[in-house]
This record gives sequence, C-alpha cells and structure tokens, in this order.
Amino acid sequence: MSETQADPGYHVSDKKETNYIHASKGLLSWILTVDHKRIGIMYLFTIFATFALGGLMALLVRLELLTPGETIMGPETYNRVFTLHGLVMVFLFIIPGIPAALGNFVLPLMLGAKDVAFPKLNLASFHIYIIGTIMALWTTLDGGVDTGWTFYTPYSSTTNTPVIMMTLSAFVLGFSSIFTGLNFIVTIHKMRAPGLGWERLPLFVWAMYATAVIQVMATPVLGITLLLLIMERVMGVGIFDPALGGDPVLFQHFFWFYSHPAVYIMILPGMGVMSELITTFSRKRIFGYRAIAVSSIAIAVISFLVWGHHMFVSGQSAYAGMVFSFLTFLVAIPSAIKIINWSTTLYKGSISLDSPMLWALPFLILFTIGGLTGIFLGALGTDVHLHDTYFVVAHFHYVMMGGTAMAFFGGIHYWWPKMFGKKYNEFWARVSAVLVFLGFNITFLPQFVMGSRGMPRRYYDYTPDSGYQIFHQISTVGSWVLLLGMLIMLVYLASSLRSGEVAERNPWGARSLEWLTQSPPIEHNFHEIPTVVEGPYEFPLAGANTASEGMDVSGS
Amino acid sequence: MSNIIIHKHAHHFYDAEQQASSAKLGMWLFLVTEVLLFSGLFVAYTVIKTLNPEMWKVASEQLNWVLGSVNTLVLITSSWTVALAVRAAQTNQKGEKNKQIVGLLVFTIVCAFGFLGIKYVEYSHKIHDGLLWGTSFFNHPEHVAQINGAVSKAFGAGIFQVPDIAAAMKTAIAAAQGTDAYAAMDAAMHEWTHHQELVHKYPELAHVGDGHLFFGIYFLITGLHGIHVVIGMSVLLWVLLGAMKGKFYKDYYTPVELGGLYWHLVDLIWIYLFPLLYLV
Amino acid sequence: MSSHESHESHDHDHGHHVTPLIVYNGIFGGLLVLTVVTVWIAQFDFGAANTFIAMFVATIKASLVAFFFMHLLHDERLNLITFGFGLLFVSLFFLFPLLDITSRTYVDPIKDNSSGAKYEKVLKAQKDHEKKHADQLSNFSMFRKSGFVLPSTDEKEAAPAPVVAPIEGTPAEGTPVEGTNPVPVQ
Repeated sequence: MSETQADPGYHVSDKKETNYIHASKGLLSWILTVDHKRIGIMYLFTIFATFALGGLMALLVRLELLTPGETIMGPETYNRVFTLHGLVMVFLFIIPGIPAALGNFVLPLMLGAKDVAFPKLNLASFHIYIIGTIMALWTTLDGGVDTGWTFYTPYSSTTNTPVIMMTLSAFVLGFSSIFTGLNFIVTIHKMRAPGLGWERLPLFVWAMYATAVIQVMATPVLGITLLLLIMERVMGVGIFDPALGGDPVLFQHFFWFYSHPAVYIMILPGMGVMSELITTFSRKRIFGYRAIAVSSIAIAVISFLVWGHHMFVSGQSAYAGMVFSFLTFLVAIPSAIKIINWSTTLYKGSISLDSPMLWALPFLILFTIGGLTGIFLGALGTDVHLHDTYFVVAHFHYVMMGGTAMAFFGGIHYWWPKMFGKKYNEFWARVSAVLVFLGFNITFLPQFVMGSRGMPRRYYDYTPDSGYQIFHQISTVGSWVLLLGMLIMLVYLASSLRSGEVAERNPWGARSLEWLTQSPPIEHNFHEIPTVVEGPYEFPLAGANTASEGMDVSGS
Repeated sequence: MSNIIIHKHAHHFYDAEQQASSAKLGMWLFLVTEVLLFSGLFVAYTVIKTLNPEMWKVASEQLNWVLGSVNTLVLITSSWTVALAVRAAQTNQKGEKNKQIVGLLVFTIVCAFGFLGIKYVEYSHKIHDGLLWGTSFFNHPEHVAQINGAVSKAFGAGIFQVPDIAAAMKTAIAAAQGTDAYAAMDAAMHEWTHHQELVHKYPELAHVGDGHLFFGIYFLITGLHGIHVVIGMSVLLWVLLGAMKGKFYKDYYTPVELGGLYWHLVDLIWIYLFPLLYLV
Repeated sequence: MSSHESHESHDHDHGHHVTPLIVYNGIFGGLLVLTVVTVWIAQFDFGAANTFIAMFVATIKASLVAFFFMHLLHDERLNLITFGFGLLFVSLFFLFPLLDITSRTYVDPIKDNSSGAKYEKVLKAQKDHEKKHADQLSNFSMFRKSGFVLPSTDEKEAAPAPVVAPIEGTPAEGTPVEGTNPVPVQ
C-alpha cells in the first residue's frame, strides 16, 4: 500500500531502509545482539530444530508400536525414546515456543516500543535456553533418561539413568522461561505506545501477559521440585521416599503445581495467535473483546487450582480429588468462551482462506475436541478408567498439537513476511496445512478409541490378540502423513528465504501496530513512536478509503 | 570521592523515570519467583511436620535458639543498614553522601558474614553429632546397620552377645596391637562408641522415629537460604564497587535500591524460617 | 513528545518518596522488640495454636520490612499487587496438599475391622455382580481376545496378599512406631 495523502498523521513510508537483518554483520553481532527481533529469530530456528528432534522421537515410538513385540528397539530403549520425546517437546519446544519465537519478535512491535524492557535479560534468556538444551541433549550420550517426562518418585530417585543431568537442564531452562515472562510483564506494563490503553491492546498481548504471569509464578516451583529430586538422589534426603518416612505423592503435588499451569503456558499464546488470525482473515472486529481478554487472565489464575486432576489415582485423598475435579470443570469455561467468541467472529466476516487461516480454522475444531475430552478426564469416575491410557495421550496431543502447534505454525506463516520480508509459496503452504491436519487426525483419533478400550500409555508392547494393533497401525501411518506435511513446510519456508517474493508492509491487510513498520522492520522498529487513536481490529468497511492500513495512528 | 557520575538512561526507554520504575517492577517480579521457590520447602516442612508431629517436636528442640535469635538480629540490623544506604543514595545531591553509602553497604556485608559465621558454627556442631539427613542420621537403621556391620567384621559377630561390649572391644584391640586387624578394629570401635554417646546424648531423638526428616528439611531450607545470602552479598558487593566510584545519587540509585530489595527478601525469608525451625 | 500518557500513573514523577530517618530507626527498633517477643512467646505452649501465633508475629515483622524498608507503602501500587499475587499463589500451594494430607484415609482390610467390614461388603457386592453377569462379561469380545480372565469368584481360590519383605532395621510391619502419627482412620 503506497503512501496515502488522506492520512494526516503517522508517516508510513514504503521506502525500504536498512532492516534489522542487515543492520550489522557477522556471527558475533547475532550471538551478542540485544535486538529482540534477532533474538526471536534465533529462538525460532532453534525451536524448529528441537521440534524436529522431538518429532523424530515420536516417529520412532510410533514405528515401534506398529507391531506387537519388538519392532525396532527393545523395551529399555523404548522408555528412553518416549521420555526424550516428552522432555524435548515440553521443555525445548512448546513452553518456549510461541513466547520466545513469536512473542519476542512481535510483542514490542505490537506495543509500539523500541524493544522489550530488559534487552540484555532477553539475550541471557536465549543463552540460558541454549545451555539447557545442550545439557538435555547431553543425557542422550549417557544413555538417556527413562522415567517419562514427569519424573515420578521413587523411580526417578532410584533409577540408574542420568536423571540429575536432565533435571538440572530443566532447572536451567526454567530460568529462561522465568526471565522471558518477567521481561514481557514489565514490557507490557511500562512500554506501551501513547494512547495504547489496556482495552486497545491486541488480544495477542493479553495472552502473552497471562502466559507471562504463569511463567513467573509457576516455574519457580518446578525449580524447587527438581532441586529436591536432585537432593533425593545425591543426598538421600528421603522426603519423597516411603522407606525413609517420606511421601511420593508429595512429589506429584510439587510437580503438578507447576506442570498444570505449564500447559496453560503452552496454550494461551496459541490462543493469542488465534485472535490475531481469526480477526485478520475474516476482516472483522473480534466478538467479545473483553470476554476474551478477561478469560485469558481467568485461565491463568484458575490453572493454579486444578493440578490434582493428574493425581486422582495416585493416592491423594478422595476428598481432595473431588475438590480438584470440581475446579477442573471451572477452568474449561474461559476456554469455551474463547472458542465461542472466535466462531462468532467468523459469522458474517469476509473470510479468506490464506495459509495462516488454514492453521487457525482447524484449531477451532481440534482444540474443542481436545478440550472436551479433557472434561472426560476431569470427572473422577471416568478418570479412574481412562488414567494412563491412550485416551490421555490423545487428549493432550489434541490440545497441544491440534491447538498450540497449529497456532504456532499459523503464527509463523502470518508473521513470516514481517520477519524476513519474504513471501513463501502459498500453494505448497496450503498443501502442507491440509496434510498436517489430515495426518494429525489419522494419528490421534484412533488413540481415543484404543485408550478407552484399555490400551495403557507408555507401554512398550501389546498382545497380538488384544485388538489394539489396527489402531496402532493407523496411528503410525498418520505419523508418516504428518512427517510429509512438515517436510514440505520446511522446504518452502527455507526456499522463501532464498528466493521468495519480496513482501510489502502489510500483506494480509491486518490491523495492529507491527504492520505499520516496513517488512522486515528497521533495527529500532519505528522511526517515531506512533500515538494510537483507535481500538484493536477496527477493519474499515469494504469500499472505504483504506487509509493507513495497519492501525490508525497520529504522529506526535 | 565526592564526585558523582551522571547516568544516561538506555535508548529504548523514554526517560530515566520509566527505566527506574521498570527495573523496580522487574525486581519485584523476581522476588516473587524467589518466594515461590522457597515455598516448596515450606510446604514440605508443613506436610512432613503434620505427618510426624512427635518427631518434629523432639528434633526441633535440638536447634540452638540462642544462635538462631542472634542470627535474626544480625539480619534485621543488616536490613536496616541497607535501607539507610538506599536512602543515602536517594538524597545524595552531588556526591557528599558517597562515603556514607559505602560505609552502610560495608556494614551490611559484614553483617552477612556474621550470619554465615554463626551458621557455620551451627552446621559443624550438627555434622559432628550426626544430626543429618536421610541415612546419614546418627540413628538411622541403615546407618546403625553399617556401624554394627563394621564392628561385626572387625571383632566377629559374637561381640554383641557379651554383657560389656566396650570392655570386650578394648581387650580385643589391646590384643590386636601391631597386627593388620588393628586399624579396622580401632575405626569400628570409635564409630561405635561415638554412636553410643550420641544415643545417650539424644535419647528421645534416637527413638522417636524418622528424625532424619527434620534435619533433611533443616539443612535444605537453611542451605538454600544460605546460598541466597551469598548471592545477596555478591550483589551488594557489586553495588558497593559502584558506590565507591560515585555512581549513585538522587537521580540514579536503582542498583542500590534493587540490591537492597533482594537483601530484604533474604531477611524476610529468615523472619519466617527462624520461628518455624527453632521455636515451634 | 507526549510519551507519558499511556504509562502506568505514577503517584510521584520525579520526587520519589524519601522515608524520614526517624521512621527507619523506629521500624528497626520495632523489629528488634518483635524478635524478643517472638522468642518470649515461644516459651508458652498454646498447643496447636503455637505455629499460628509465631506466624502472626512473623507476619507483622515481615510487613514492617516490606512496607517500610522495601517502600511498598509509598511505591506505585503495581509493585504491591505483584508481591500480593505471589503470596496468594503461595497460599494455594499450601492449601491443597494440606487438604490432601489431612483427609487421607488409610484402610487396612485385614487389620482394621470397622472399615474392613465395609470393604468386605463392597468386595462381596462386586463379586455378586460379576457372577450375575458372568456370561455377558465373558462374551465381551475384547476381553476374550485379550485372554483376560475374570478373577475367581470363589473365596478359597482368592490369591493371598503379597508378602512384603520388611526392611532390615525398621520395625516389623504393623507395629506402631513411637512418635509417628498415622492419620486416624475414619
């Protein structure tokens, strides 16, 4: 969109100046950068790599389960492979995921700021993440951990695998998460552009805020939990060891106090991305802005009240179980509000099925399935039968992959032109989205069925006449379709960097501050900090003079 | 040293005010994470105490409340002096208060050393008396089994059947003078007699149940607190170096303030630790 | 540049509140006194209230440090809210495990007769149900294919309780350990 004469205010020019990628050269200028955009990009590439590693582990697991008995590995190896899958996906991919790779890049731009509040802390976050990643991968050289990503005692305090190194790596990664969250909270409170009040913030910002609150409040408890586990192993303290008078269920209380809010660290950013995608690609103001904003905060708070639903059959008291079950039903409500509001936003919107939207629309369906199956698990009675079966596995993959991962990829596609100034191949992007959607459902839908019929999770084997094999086989084939979709994505995204079409300032016609900057932005983001004069998502009516697409602002 | 170095705010902030208030909010968020870190240990304390009230009472009586009280007073004093240091920086117009800031910070750090010194005394006493965690606890069955095993190995299992074990041991050792078996016998006897002394010294604690759980929690929580004292000292030392260069004055005293906040947190945690461990 | 409007409103732009010396000294004195009180009051035994009283005094001391030494009273309210939220989450962290620990019921169907009778009744009802629907259950194809065999409904054939080897040095299973306090059976 070229310069407009009708725009009296902010001077948006399409003249390309030196962007942040070319602002300085050399490896050191990236490794020691304090530019939030560069940090975001470095996170992005690393997270793609960790996702690939976790995905590889998943493919190996599914390959092993293709046939009963040993297919490609023995049971000891299997335990280590699925543990690594869980640990890598949780701590190296999905928790940093959207906040680090997308949030770091987009948040200051969306706020009209020049950077996050603490740029050096941001860089430290990244390096701590790298150190934690190296430590985690180091354990594979030592044979790998076999406890499952949940590290339950007393197995984790007694097994002979490198638990200490792995828990230390998770401890280190926790710092990265805390610092990112801390940075975002202060940035959102203190560095908004003039005129950008709380009720004018894009919902992505609200989501990042809620996520950051959980990161700051919950992660330290994981820290102490892991420290205590290390002390159990090294010093033999015994607070989790029944033989020494301790209580193994106490470990679970500690662990899930973090890990349940953690799953909301995983989904809230995805929900934030959803709000952006749904509004932009239906060119319509969001339905129920305040409800979605408040529900993000509500999810953050209520998420701390429900962790016991992971422990219904662990030996906690039935009374506690009842309380947790009731509260779990409560936490579903804000999520449902979002789904309803997004769906209503689509109604009478001008919907375009560009590739980012092809990630957002399936989210509505897949997250709903995942969420509803969570209700099954939240009910005490049914959970007794479904706990530790493939039903649980399917449930969390529907919310984490059908939900967060879809939103993550949607966000990547959405902001890709802004980040790199290049457009990717739209046709292959759509192919990839469809393949991933199909592959995902083929992989995980059968798991609901076999889980409810009794197939336990984390089991290396099943008998030939159990009737589960057909489900496992379908699931494994689905994983191959998923792989294909991902590989295609890798190829066209990489190719866009080299030879993609140059992207304009606002290729999607979106309506938030980041689209006012050039693509890619200059190092300091804005030539002059804009003053915001309107609310979010104020898409002009069709036919109106589409002045200053990106957001209505005035110069100072 | 009566000059000040004028501070320029970072480029991504509009002004120094925004930078200072952002930094403070950031530090408060970090303090929240520290509180949540310690809360895990407080919860473990509560749970284990609720499950073992008799043991807890007996075990906690072994802590020296006098030393604990002194440590409390030391930390409170250091909190006071660091608050005064912040105030001095806040009112430092042109560098006339530089020396005062330095002096107060030095005093705070000295208090911290004092705290650690007293903790060292406490710890070494406990370590010597086997008031430790897990299987290192002096009367933990495994520990006892290990001692008895060494005795059996050195003196033969029959030694436990005689009426006066100590005398029998002495006799056996005297007889074994100069032989290879002497060293093992001597070591085993010393361990055994030391254990007997401890059982005699702490009769209730020896028989009240899982006493090691109390000391496990004690060492974990005071240990983690001690680590934070060291971290706080390091932070204050770094601030001290800046104060010596004249960096802090009324328009820029954020590092002093943030360092002070961290130190106050260390004090806050101890204010709760002290009664919970030493008094109830 | 009108850059301040959207920021959190500060009560004080460039003149941060300076606490008077006398306030600092007074608070310090108060903390010393309260420490003495803490130690003094610990010599009295109020039973279960001991911990609460100690915590109450500690909280007063902590509030003095937080509000005055750490300036929360005169700082922008956001800092107070932040710290307050942290304390709120800490209390949640305490609440639920305590709820769990204090409401656990331990049922030993062999030794504890009063609950044992209830347990026996449940077991019997379960076995009757299975006997009644045995054909339907055994017809269920999944069970049949997986080789799953219904546990024997004949009492005599019931598997004996597994024998757990006692840990050397620990008192024999079932003997009450002096000092430990198992949660009372309801």
